[in-house]
Parts: sequence; structure tokens; C-alpha cells
Amino acid sequence: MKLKMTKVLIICLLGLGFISCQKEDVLESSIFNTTDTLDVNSATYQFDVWLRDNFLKVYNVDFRYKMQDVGSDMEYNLVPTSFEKAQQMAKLVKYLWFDAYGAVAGPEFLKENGPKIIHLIGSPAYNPISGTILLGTAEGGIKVTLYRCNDIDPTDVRQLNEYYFKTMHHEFAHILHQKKNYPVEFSQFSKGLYNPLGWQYKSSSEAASLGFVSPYAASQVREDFVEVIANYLVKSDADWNNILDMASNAGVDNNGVTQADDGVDGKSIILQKLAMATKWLKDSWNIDIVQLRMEIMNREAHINEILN
Amino acid sequence: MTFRMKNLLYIVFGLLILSLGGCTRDESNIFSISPAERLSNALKVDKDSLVNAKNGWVMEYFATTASAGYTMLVKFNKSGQVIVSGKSELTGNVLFSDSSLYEMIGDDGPVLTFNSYNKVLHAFSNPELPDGYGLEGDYEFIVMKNTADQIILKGKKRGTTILLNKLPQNITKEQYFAGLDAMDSLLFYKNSLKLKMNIGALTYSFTNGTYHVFSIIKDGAGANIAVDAPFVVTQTGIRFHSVQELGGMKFQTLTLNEDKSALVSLDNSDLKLIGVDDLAAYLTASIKVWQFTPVGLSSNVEVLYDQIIQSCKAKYNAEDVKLAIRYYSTRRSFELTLSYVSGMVLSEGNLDFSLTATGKNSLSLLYKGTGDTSGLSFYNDVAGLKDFSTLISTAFNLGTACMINPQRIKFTKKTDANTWFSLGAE
Repeated sequence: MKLKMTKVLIICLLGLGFISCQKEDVLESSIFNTTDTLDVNSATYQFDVWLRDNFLKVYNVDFRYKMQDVGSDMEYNLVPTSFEKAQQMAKLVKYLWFDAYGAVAGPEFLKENGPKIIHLIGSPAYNPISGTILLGTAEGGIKVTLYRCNDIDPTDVRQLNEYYFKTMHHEFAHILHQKKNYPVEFSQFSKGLYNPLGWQYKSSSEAASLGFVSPYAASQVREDFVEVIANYLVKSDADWNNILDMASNAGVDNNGVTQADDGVDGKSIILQKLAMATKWLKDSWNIDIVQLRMEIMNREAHINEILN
Repeated sequence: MTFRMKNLLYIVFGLLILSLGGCTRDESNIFSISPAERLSNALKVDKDSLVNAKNGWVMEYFATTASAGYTMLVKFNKSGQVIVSGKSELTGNVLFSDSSLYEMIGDDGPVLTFNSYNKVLHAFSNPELPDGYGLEGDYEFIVMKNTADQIILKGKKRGTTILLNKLPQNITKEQYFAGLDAMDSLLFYKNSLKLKMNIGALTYSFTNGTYHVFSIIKDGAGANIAVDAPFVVTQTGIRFHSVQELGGMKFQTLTLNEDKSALVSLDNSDLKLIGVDDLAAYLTASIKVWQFTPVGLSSNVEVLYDQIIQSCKAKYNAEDVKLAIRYYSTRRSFELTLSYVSGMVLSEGNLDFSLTATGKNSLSLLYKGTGDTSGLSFYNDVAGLKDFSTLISTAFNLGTACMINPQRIKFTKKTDANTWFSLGAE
């Protein structure tokens, strides 16, 4: 008992000593400095003002287009985004992603739950050993990093979705399920079929026939969950139906060889996964995924208007 | 209270005093301002230096410590814009400029970052060809030293030393790159020679300079102990990425001397990279094709040369008629080779010549009276060729404007200074 008391005392006193050196920060509504510190003589002033007014003030988002290598994964060889592509990307991210969610769920939803930092990288992040590339990452529910931004073609909606916006929906779904977990039953749909190291060797057809919306979905349960949401949101009706058609048939591998019947009703599995994700979004976040998808499609038809 | 308990309380109070003392002790600063202020001031000073160079900077860039050096011209604007110009295989060998953004940031000390994509600079960092790696060059640099005319940078990831030298105001970027091209061509055009450096009794060979990474090897040593030494071509010669040390002697910057016979160390004029010492020995060992050109002929040689060209055109409807001296391994002999194109078909004939060194920078040519079938046919049918072969079958003194890498060699007849011709390396 004597020893126990002494330990407590030591901890308290040392704690007191440390506390006396600290300064408490007052919590503010934004984690970023929202006072106007922009340099009117800067070459990027106009764009910086636009970012402040459209991202920081509306969504509390720091849109980082000037690459910070300390803010990226130093293990990769990466390059920054060009200023021209960064401006296009900013407008597209706002219009097709933030404003789409804002229209359906309201800006406050994104202020509370959305990413706080968007970081643009010009090149892909290659994994030379596995032969894969990283398109995006979400760190701690705070920061979304988008790669390959120098390849952006604003006129190609399918490319925009495949390389950037599917990634953003994918990463945002991770942020949401890290706050409110998806139903544990989801992991039962494809139990035993996940392959974290070999997913990249599966074709889209093979993945679909097994009940996955993409090869990457077959890597882990949580990736499967967010891939269902991301693909459903950005795929056109024709592309989504194509996934379901592939899922209804035997898989064809990357060499064009039809695989033996896997005994899985891929289409049924995918639709069940979508139904569970739809319910989770509605129940947990009050987001109607069908309405959100319509909003995105409607905006995709008007991209030219925001770029000019 | 037990003795043990007492001791523990002493320790506790002792620690408390120490921890409180840590907050109140008044340490005397060796600097008059805080580290943050010092860094902030350093960033401002560095940015001012970058911007105040009216004509910008010459950047001597190395992607890694093992790769070739490249030159870029960099002009910083106060607004945060930068224009980078380059001319290399990465820009298709044309002068190309691109504008992007830069910033001085506090990171590992003052760091110059090129934080938006620049087609010239970031070509060295693009992780492509091969995917994931590329050339692996840096675009963030720690400022190591800042003087009036030079800023020394260090690549943040690769640790290469990169110099920014102030570009003089009276030179355009076109002129600057033209100067670099001229020096590069002078030193390395058409497969550079094996250069040599003598240090005491030792001789070191420098090869493969064309790609700006010398392979250095001590004569007599095995090829597997060659050392790679990357360098950048400058207006006056070359500069190695790092200090080279051979035989106890150190050098880094070499300047082409006035008679263009050697690259001489800036710090020690005894250290020289020498090209050709004896043109006769060089030619008799050469495997290059040495071509006669109409602009480098004395009048009596030119008359016969023109006669040959015109005769070929008239007899064979020939185009692109060429006359050259070369070593032809198939015939194991030097040849006077006449070639032309007619109706998309290349025709060629060879006359056998001996090429004999008769002294330093002197040799004799001699038509042996033999040749291949086409050569002998030309010898009889092409007007002027017989006389031409006779005229050049004599002893010559040799000379060149650039001994370090001869690209044109002048043959002057020993007994008649008015008979001469020049051969250019093809």
C-alpha cells in the first residue's frame, strides 16, 4: 500500500511539473487558419482566394495543391501536380464530389465528417514489386491524397471517375465506416474468397463472377464494402449493368480463358452487398445512395460549364 | 514512517524540484533571436538572393550521385513563379522552358521546393521508365550555403550536391546553351576518346564520357575495379559531382586549356585529362570513317576531288558521292573508299592504302595498287580518281584544332605546304 501510494504521488507530481510547461490551446471551429493571410502579390493569389471561398469557408477543407513531400509517403517517388491541372482538379472535386454530397446531405455533414485535407500528387504512386499503382489514400479520416493528377482529362468522365472520383468515394466511405462500422454480416457474403496479396491477378470478369464489383474489392472485406459504394456511385447504368452481366456468367481470366463454374451467384451477391451498403448509408448517415448517384450523374453532364 | 518511505519521499521531492526547475531556469541564448525567427530570416534572405539574380541562375543538377549531370537555367520571380529552361534528351534536345511554382519553406532548415510540376525540372523526378523509379531526382533542396554568386543546394532525398551559379546579365539562354553544346561537341562528339590522366608513374584512363559519367580505371588494373564519376559539362569544361581522388591527388573542376589539348584541374594545373598525344598514332589505330569534304581542300586537291564527283554523277547518275579514308576490317587494310547512291542503291568501291606513322604527328599514305572489284573499276573509269590516289600517296604533317578530341585532321604535304586536305570524322 505504501509503495502504491508513492507511485501515484510520483506520477501526479511529475505530471504537475509537465503540465506547468504546457499552454492550452483554445478549441476553434476550424482547425485551419481562416483569417486572410493570402499574399495579394502571389502568382497564385486568385486561385488561393477561390480555394478559401469554396473549400475552406464552405467545407472547412484545406486543399493542398502545392506538393509537400513531408505530407506524402516518402517511400514513393512522386512529383507535384502542375498548377494548371491543380486548378482543374479543384473545380472538379468541388463540383462532382463536395457539392454533390452537399446537395444531398448538406454542407454541415461534410464539415463534420468529410476529409479536412485534400492533397494532390501529380504522378501515380507505383508499387514496382507488385506491379500496382496507388490512386488514393485516406489517412485517419482527415486527409485524402489523390495521385496521378497530371493525367487528368476533364473531357473524359469515365477516366475522371476511374482515377479520381471513385477513389474519393472509396476513401470517404472508409472515413465513414471508421466512424460507424458497417454491419459485421457483410463479411459473410464472400467469406474465404478474399486475397490481399493476389487480387491484382484477377480480371474484372473473374472478380464479378465471385461477387466482387472490382478485382480490388476481392482484397479485403473493408475494401469490398467501400468498392461497392464507390463503383455504384460513379458507374453509368451501362457500366454497372456490365458488372452485373459479368457476375452472372463464368469468369474469364486475363488471358481470355473461361474459368470453371465457381458455384457462386455473383450477381446476387453483389446486389445483396449493395442493398446492405444502401441501408447502412441511410440508417447511419441519412444518405440516400440512389439520390446521390443521380446528383452525381446530373453534374457529370454539365462539367464543361464549370471549367470554362 | 519507515526509513524506506522517507527515502522515497526525498526522491519524489527531488524530482518535483527538478521538473519545476526545468520550466523556470533562465538559460542564456547564444543567439539574440529565437530559432523560428532565425529560420524565418534565413528563408527571406535565400528568397531575396534567388529573386535578385536579374538574369537567373545556372543550375548544375545531378539526379543521383551516380547519374550524369545536366544544366538548367532557372529564373525566380518574387511572386512565387519560376521559369526553368533546359536542353537535353529529356526535352528532345531542343531548348524548352516551362513555368511553375517554387517556395522557400522551413523544413530541414531552409528548403527550396519546386512544388508544382515543371516539365523541365520534374522530368528528372517522374517515376516512369521504369515505373516507380524514373531518374529518381530531387525537386526539394536544402540550402547549404548562400554566397553572392553561388548557392549550394543539397537534394533532400538523394543527397546530391547541386550548384546554382549566377548567370551573367549579358547572356541569353539560347547563347548559354549554345556554349554548352559547343563544349560538349568539342569534348565528346562522335564517341569521345579514351582520355588519360598521368599522376606520377600511374596512368588513369577515362572512358564513356559521351554520357557524362566517366568510367575511370588505373591502367593495368582489371575492368571490374573501374569507378564511375558523373560530371556536368560547363561553359569552360567539366565539373564532377564530387571531388575525385586519384593517386592521392584531388580534383573536381576541369577547364579546357587554350590549345584545346587537355582539361586542366582548376586547383592544380599539373592534373590534366589528355586526349590525343600523337595524331599519327591516333589515326593508324582509328576505326572511324574519315571523310573528305569540299571545304577543306587545297586548290590542286579540290580540282581532282570535283572531277571525281562530277564524273560519278555523269557516269552513274550518282547522288551523295563521298570519298573517305577508313580502316576496313574485311580487307584488313586502310582504304580510299568511293561511294554514291543511285536509284536508292548504295554503291561502294575500295582502293587499298597503307597508312604508316613516320613520326609524331606525321604519316605517309601509299596506294598499294590493289582494291576490290568495284574499287579497281572506279580507279580506271572515274575521271580524276587515279590522279587523286597518286597525289595523296605521299608523306604528310598532321594537325588539328582540338587535340583532346580531334574531329577534323588537316593533312599537309611535307614537301609542299600548298597541297593539303582535311578529313572529318563521320
